[in-house]
Amino acid sequence: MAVITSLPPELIRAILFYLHNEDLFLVLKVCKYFNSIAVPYLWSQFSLGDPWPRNLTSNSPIGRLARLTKKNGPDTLGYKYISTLRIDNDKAFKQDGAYIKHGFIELLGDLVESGTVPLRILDVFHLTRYHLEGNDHALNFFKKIKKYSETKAPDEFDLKLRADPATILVDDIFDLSKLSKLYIPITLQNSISKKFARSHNLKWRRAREGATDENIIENIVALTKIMSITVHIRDLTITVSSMYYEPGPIHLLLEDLNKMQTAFTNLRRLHRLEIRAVGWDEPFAKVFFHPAFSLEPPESVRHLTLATAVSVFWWRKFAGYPFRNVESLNIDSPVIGIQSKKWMSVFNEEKEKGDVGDWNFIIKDVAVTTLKKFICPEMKDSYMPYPRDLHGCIYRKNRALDGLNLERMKKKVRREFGAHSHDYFSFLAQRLTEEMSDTYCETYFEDAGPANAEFLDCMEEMRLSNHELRIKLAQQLLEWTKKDVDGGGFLDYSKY
Amino acid sequence: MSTIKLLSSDNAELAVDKEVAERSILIKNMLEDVGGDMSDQAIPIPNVNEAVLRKVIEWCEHHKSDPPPPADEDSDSRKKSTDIEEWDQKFMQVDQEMLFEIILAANYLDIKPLLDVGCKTVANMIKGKSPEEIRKTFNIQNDFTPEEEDQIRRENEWAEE
Repeated sequence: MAVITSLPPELIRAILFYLHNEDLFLVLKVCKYFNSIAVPYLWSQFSLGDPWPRNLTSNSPIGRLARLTKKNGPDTLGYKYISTLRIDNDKAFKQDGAYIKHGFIELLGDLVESGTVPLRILDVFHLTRYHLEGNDHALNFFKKIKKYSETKAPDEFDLKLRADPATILVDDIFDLSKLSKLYIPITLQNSISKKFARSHNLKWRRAREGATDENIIENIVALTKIMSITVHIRDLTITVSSMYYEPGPIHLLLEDLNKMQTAFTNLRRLHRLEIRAVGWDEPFAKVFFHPAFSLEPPESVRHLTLATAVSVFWWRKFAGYPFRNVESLNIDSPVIGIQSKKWMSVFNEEKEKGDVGDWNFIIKDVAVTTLKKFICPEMKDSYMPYPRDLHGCIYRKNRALDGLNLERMKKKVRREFGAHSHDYFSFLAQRLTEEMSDTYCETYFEDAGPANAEFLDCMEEMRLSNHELRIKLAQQLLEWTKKDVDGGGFLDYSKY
Repeated sequence: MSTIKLLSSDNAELAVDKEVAERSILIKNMLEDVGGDMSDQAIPIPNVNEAVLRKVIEWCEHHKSDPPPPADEDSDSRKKSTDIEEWDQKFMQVDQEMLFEIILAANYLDIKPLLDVGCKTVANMIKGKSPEEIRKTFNIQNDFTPEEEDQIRRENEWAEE
């Protein structure tokens, strides 16, 4: 007979998945079988800063746990089951916070370093350098984990980070060679013109003639540094937001961008790359450093998402780049937010070659042939330069997209054909029904005699011959269609 | 539409639409392996009896046109919500033996969404209950000695409010 205790451990775990911690702490008291599953389950993912249990961030539980650990030793508790340590909130590193005050951060760091906690994954979800800089407790904690992870092989330890470049590089606290997944927000900020500042009610910071702001270069250098160490990274998301950034001449950035490109090219395991501009409302440039800078992804990338404002020059480079292993490509266009737009269309060298740099341009061909998935809105009135023939080129060269292309074509043709047929037949039907009803009315008028003719009477008679009238209407429609009364205007696609 | 036959553990033969039966990834893979033609031969489902198999088929029938669940779902990103849609709630109003049989069958037949509904149903029966109430609900023996119980209490009281 099936009872709950006859379910195998993996199904008990599947049930525990849906319970919150306060319930899990009660489940482990029910019986030995539940206890043997719930205790490892509870401890396996240990979150700092997350309510674990609900009120862990309040003072008492973490203090009690620290005291209990010191009194009875770590073996009496579930530390040996911790495989993932997640930093959900950097409140855990507040100098006067409960974690540090009660010595828990120190204790946990020691347990990791000594191997009591068999950590496999460090998942940093929220961390800012604000709580790190000058904070020896926090820095030592991360250094202990780093020391531990350096003794592990890349398949034994995994680092996932979600932090900005400056935080990642604070005091060299992360073993970036173990980094597998990185979400890195970058904020670009430089000088703005007086006029721009005035029109947006912003404080004007004096623009230096011919100089690109250090912040932009700093970000490129930091990203380059991180990318040159993270040899095992598989999944990278870069989000770019701008603060008062208006791109200047690209040659000022080019040297550093080229170095960054080299660091990217050397990433051998990167599987997924996403570069996305974020923030909708601000009028600031939604670019990855510069609209004319096209990062060539490393050859290992299979899933690529590009969603920043780019220039005509960028598209020309895009068209010629083979993206050798990319299976899914996702291109999206943000609201570009560039004020002058001068870097978007005409590029000086191109101008000399006679390229007009119009936003409405074509690329004629693409080099990529490996796509299995292609997501890109057809931007009719695009916010940024966008090749009119992008979809055509992509579908022509990528056989695996045939199914998708057919579906897309079906949808478009159905819509167009439907609209045309609608117009055509409703036009004919209106003329025909007028003609038929007039004829019917005249006949009725004569048959009934003008003195007895009544509207309702006439309608009732028509209703009785409803079916015949309909058939007659359809037949007449067929006749008129054969006669080609609109002279071939039915599918007028000359406008395409 | 083509029909296939399933043979339950108690030797009952049930005819099912292929599309419905393919909610089970186990059956789907099996049909793909033999090239799809199983029209004359019943597929044995040795772990599931007739009553449970009928119940599972009823669920698959109702959910036959559901979109497939997203493939590369991170376990983190799965929501911990225990909300169950109304039809499924009614469907799961069965005695406990049947409930656990359905969970075991869904696991064996590899019907992930049905397994989720089953697990959520059990989770909802546990939520907010004391250990003694949980034991009563599922008829579980307390197999801890008083000493063990005391030790567990001491090891976990730090987490209590």
